[in-house]
Amino acid sequence: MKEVDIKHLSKLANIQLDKEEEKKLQEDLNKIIKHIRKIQEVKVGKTPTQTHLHAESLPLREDKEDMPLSVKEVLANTQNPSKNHFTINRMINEDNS
Amino acid sequence: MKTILEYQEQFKKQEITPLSLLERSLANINPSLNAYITVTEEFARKELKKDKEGKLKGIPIAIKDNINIKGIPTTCASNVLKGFVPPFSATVIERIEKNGGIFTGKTNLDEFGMGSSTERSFYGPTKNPFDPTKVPGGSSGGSAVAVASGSAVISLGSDTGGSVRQPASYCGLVGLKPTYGRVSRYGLVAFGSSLDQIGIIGRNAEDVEIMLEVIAGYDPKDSTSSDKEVDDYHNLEKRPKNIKIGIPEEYFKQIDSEVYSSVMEIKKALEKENITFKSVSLPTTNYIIPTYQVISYAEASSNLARYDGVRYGLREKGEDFHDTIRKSRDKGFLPEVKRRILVGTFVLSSEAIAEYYERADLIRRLITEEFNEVLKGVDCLLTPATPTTAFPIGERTDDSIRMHVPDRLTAGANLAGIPAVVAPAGMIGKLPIGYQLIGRPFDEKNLLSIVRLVEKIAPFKWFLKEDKNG
Repeated sequence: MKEVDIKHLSKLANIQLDKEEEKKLQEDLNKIIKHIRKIQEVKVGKTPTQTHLHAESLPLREDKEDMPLSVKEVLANTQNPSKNHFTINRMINEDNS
Repeated sequence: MKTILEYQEQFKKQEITPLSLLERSLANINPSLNAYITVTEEFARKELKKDKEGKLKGIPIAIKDNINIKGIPTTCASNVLKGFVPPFSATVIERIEKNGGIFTGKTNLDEFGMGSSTERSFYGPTKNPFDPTKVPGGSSGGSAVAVASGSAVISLGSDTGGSVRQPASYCGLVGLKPTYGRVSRYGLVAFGSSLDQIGIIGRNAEDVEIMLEVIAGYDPKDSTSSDKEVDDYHNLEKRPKNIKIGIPEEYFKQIDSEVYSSVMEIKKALEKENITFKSVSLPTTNYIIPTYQVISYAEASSNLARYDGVRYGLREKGEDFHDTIRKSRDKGFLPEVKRRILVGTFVLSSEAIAEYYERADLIRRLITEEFNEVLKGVDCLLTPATPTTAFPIGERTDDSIRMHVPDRLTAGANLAGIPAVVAPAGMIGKLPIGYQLIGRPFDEKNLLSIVRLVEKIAPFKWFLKEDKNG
């Protein structure tokens, strides 16, 4: 079994890890993945995938406009909102701009 | 220990008032058990003044802190949701409010529901009221402890792989995971969307039936909710007759001998009531845990991608936008959630998806078909709820694989989307243990009828601790 590339995974998952965490999680992940490999033993044949568990009773709701949250409510949980906007810090470094 | 109907009878006779019941319930909160993240006393007093009529009139109810109540913080026991106050209530909350239920508070859980012990919480572990050195089970441990220690008459939890049923087993309560789609999940914070279901923890089957009548049913806000008619769960007429129960042999392996004996006592008692039993086999049982892990971790990695500190929750200072997100998520999540996100990311990555996620999805289909086939020949299955009684706090905190061991008995019902209920099977030493009934889709009424029957004929002395409410 190939070892997982923790650096690559943490980048994909958008989680910054320090060196110590990286080492510990690398060990944990290898153990977990070894454990879940057990599913390779099962003969699945031509089983079709399932899209929903009880699909026979799932109506779609009527396509009509409902009362949305107000802008004030939507922005109530963010830090430093600016007028009607969320604010984030710089996306492009000055070197690249 | 009174039931919902008994309390309401007392209200009518003016022996107690909803306010006095609320005050006595709040007085039963034992901070050392750490069942609550937020106690909503002020909110509850305001709600009481509205004096709403309904099936839950004046009943103190605890809510797992991953279900939104408008205006009350939702933390999911995570630092990543620090300061988040939801601008809307879950549909189940609106339905309970409409029926006069009163919320005592938001209860502790394993962060985002990821655990079987309620130890992996940013707000510290919850303790088992029967023995505070033991876990209460999880992830809805706070909701179970609130009911077991008398600070709520009934509570809501969520069940992705057994999170309502395991704590019910460890705390001597009835815990129901309804059929997938039976109860709206609008306003429940998502963990594993194809598995999550809001469940109920109560002291007896009747209370659970009343709560299910209130919260079940179609909700246009949840596209996975079913429009199948809601049963009159609490109606005593039309109870099932000629019941046949299956005993799946695989569920009785690798469990404590005393747990085995407790469940067999339930079987013997039911046999005396002319219920017949049949041995059945579910050979895919050994693959339930790894299949559950792959699917739930994959869904968790996708669902938890939303926690970026932009729209709500913790925001750490970073050098640029992406650095801010990565730092916020590092500071925000505890190790188990990080592990699951990372494994979930791995099983969904292009090099691994066919071998893991897609394969697990196919095995899930086999597990579901196996349950459906077996349930054609019997009304439901009787199994143990957990392989042991509650385990010591700290024993498995950092061992992801060992923590999943009890899931072998419960996660199958989530993978197959079928209902399952856990109820008390007696005591082993000073700790309670539960039995489990797993049923056909939308057959909650029959399952709860059998639990009622066991309550009537149980061969063991009823053991629930008396609370100050009498």
